[in-house]
Amino acid sequence: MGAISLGIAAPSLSKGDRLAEPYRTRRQSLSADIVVIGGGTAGTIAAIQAGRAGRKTILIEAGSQLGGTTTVGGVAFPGIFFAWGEQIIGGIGWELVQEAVAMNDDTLPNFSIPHGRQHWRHQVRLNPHIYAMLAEEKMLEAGVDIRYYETPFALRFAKNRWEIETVGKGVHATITCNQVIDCTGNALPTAMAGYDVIREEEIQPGTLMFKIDGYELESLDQDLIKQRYQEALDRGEFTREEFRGNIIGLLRSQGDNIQHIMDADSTTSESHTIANINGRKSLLRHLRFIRTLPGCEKTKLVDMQTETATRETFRIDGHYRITHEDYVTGKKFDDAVSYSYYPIDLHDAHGVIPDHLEEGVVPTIPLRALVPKNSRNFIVAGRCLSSDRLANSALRVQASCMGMGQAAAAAAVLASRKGISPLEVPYDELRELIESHGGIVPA
Amino acid sequence: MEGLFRHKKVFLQLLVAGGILLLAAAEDTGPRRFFLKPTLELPVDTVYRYLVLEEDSIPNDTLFQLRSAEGFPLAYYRKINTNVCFDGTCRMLKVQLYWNITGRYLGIELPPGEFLSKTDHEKFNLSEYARMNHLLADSLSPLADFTFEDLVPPAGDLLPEGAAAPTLGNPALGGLTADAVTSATAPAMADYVVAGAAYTTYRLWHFVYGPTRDEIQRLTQQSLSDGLLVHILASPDASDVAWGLQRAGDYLSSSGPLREAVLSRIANEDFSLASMAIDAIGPASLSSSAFQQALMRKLSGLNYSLKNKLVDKLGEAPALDPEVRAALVKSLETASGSYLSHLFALLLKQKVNDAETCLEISNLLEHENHFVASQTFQFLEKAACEDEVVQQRMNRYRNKR
Ligand SMILES: Cc1cc2nc3c(=O)[nH]c(=O)nc-3n(C[C@H](O)[C@H](O)[C@H](O)COP(=O)(O)OP(=O)(O)OC[C@H]3O[C@@H](n4cnc5c(N)ncnc54)[C@H](O)[C@@H]3O)c2cc1C
Repeated sequence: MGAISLGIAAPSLSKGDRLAEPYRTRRQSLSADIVVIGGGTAGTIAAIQAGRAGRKTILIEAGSQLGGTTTVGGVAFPGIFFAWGEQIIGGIGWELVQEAVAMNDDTLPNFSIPHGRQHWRHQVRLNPHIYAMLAEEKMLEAGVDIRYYETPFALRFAKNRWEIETVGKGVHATITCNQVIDCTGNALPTAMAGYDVIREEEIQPGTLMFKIDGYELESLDQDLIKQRYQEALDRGEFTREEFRGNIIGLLRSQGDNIQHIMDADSTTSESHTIANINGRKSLLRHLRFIRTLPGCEKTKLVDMQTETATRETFRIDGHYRITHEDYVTGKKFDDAVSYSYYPIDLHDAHGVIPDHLEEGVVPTIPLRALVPKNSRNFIVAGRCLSSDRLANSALRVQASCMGMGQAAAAAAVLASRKGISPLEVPYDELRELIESHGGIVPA
Repeated sequence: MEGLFRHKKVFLQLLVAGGILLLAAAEDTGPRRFFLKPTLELPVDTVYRYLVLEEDSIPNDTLFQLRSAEGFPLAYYRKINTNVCFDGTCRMLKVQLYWNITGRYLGIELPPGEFLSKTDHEKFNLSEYARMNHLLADSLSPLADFTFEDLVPPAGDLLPEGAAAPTLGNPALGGLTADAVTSATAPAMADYVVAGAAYTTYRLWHFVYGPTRDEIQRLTQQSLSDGLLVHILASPDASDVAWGLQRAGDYLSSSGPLREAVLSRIANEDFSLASMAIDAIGPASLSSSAFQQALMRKLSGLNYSLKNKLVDKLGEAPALDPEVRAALVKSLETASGSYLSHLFALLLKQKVNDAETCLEISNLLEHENHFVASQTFQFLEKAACEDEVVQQRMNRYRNKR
């Protein structure tokens, strides 16, 4: 009997197979000068900057590649690097963008020609896959230790050092470091560290980016299609919010930045799962519907991102909160570390009507807006910076996030060299470090 | 097909008080001209006619080219006859559309008695002509991507009986047309059309940016020379300069006024033009030591983005001038970030691996910044420097890592 049960329990191994050791979570202890959490639009730049400035840097990224919303989210059209004819965001972000453009034989927009009311003319269309690979190459070259599929679950500060506990696939690491840069976009590590974060009651919708093809827009009976869509809306098959009630808009854009997923929040695995499922469900329903329309029977889904990209979740409560008024008047802060430039761009259920800045206005970002109140050795970069909702709708764009990423990392580098907090870093030294790596600091 | 007739020395005085427009004659007494500034302001000597074979929506098939006595093209125009309709009554509109030699919109000329009109065939006033000029000059106008239907709200605004709403890309753009609908232009589009004349704006814009424009650029390109390019690069219009820089490569010798004109555009003020200027430089110019040195003098004043680009360009030189090379090696000491990487890439491309230079560079293996040290190590490894001291230093670095 014993012999028989043994026979059942032991797996039959083929030649070359190896029986794994009994499972044990791998415990690791690591140390670094700087830990960047989140390798998205801002975090990629931050980690490269920290590494190039010679600090031992670890990057923790919950996903499988770099670039975040730029690459995984499919929003591969960063903007805006030039304002009123002058470059306002340079440095590592621009370096990556330029190289990605060159490697894909794309062309940069002609920034000498003003974009007028069409600010998107100055955004740079990228191949996101090339961008992600170049970013990874540069990060490794900068000596950064990249840890994909990992996320922190506790942050503790004692004796001028952070202890971060992370979990990944089969790994539980304890990382000690001197400075933390939260680039998750959602400020979850900031909240874990015990600092205040803020969220609007109603957040901007998220978007699943995809590409459909297989129909000739010009030869479709658009009136009939609109009518059929209206009937489906009236029957409750779709909500108006999903594609702004505009089926022709969906067909014309072929899925490029058109879908709206209400309440999409990427902060936790659970909320992001819901946002992803909602995005895919909505697309599938629409795809089925489109394939019933005359002239669209052969519509194909050519491409789809693996995540619903989110516009707005939590923001930190920083030493300074950038206001809408600051933004539209281009307030120059004494501790400005980067520019930002974009129209106020708040999306709602009906879409968005951008509110352009007046000629010559270039807003700036003070270091204080990147540092949570009451924090030590802690800084953020990206869309979760401290700002009111309207200012955030413009500050969150990618070039601005890249500028912030470089500036936040430079502050963390100097802070870690001197054993102080980012806000205590001498401003002139900060400027010098950013500029020596190509970043542009407001004059 | 090309024809030619001589003009009495008419000065191409299509311009503009204050740079915007010129009303050449009093209303209804002579032709009226609404013009922007051309690249070249020289007297017109001859007018060439070209048969435009590519069919677009302009019924008249002749493209006229104005030339100066030196043979420089100065401007192009086409005669356009088109119907404008309101509430079913149509009138024939005759205009001459002008293009600059670089293909941008230049202006409109109206024969005596002719006028542009709005809803109800009401005549344009001067500010509406100015606005039309401004809108037609906008090469990035969203009118490019929109169908005529986008200009008007979906309901209620019907075209005249029997007229189909034309759409972008529809060759039937010609034919019966209407501004009847324009009183209710869709709000998002109101910024891009003259109020009450949405269709006229839309239609003229598509004439301006239609196939004629490509033909014009092709014809100017046929007449390109060093001399003409120098004029184009001196234009106050950035799009002219961009046009010239994108075509200057083939004419750029290592010396002369064109070289100076291209070099002068390598400056921080305008990234796009500076990038194009750098792109225009080819190996033939780079083979000159003097030219490399001129580029090197530019380098120190440039911002980071352009610096890297210029360093990459120097890397394309058939052989690096010794002075330039020494200066580049020296600059490694203070370089950081990607500038350092670009400098090392240039030295590798130029196969720099002599003992003296490698020895100098190997000092950086001791740099306190590990990124600088590791970039240096990688360079020395790839360059395969054989010097013994360099090898020892590399071994020390290897063991320390
Ligand atoms: C649909 C849409 C359209 C947009 N359009 C434009 C546009 O046209 N132009 C423009 O410039 N900007 C646009 N934006 C805005 C811009 O793309 C984003 O605001 C910006 O990319 C945010 O950058 P970030 O670095 O803050 O966050 P992200 O790029 O989202 O990066 C966050 C990173 O952190 C990781 N992460 C998150 N949580 C954790 C965790 N707990 N642990 C570990 N890792 C974590 C994520 O996986 C991700 O890689 C758009 C945004 C959206 C959603």
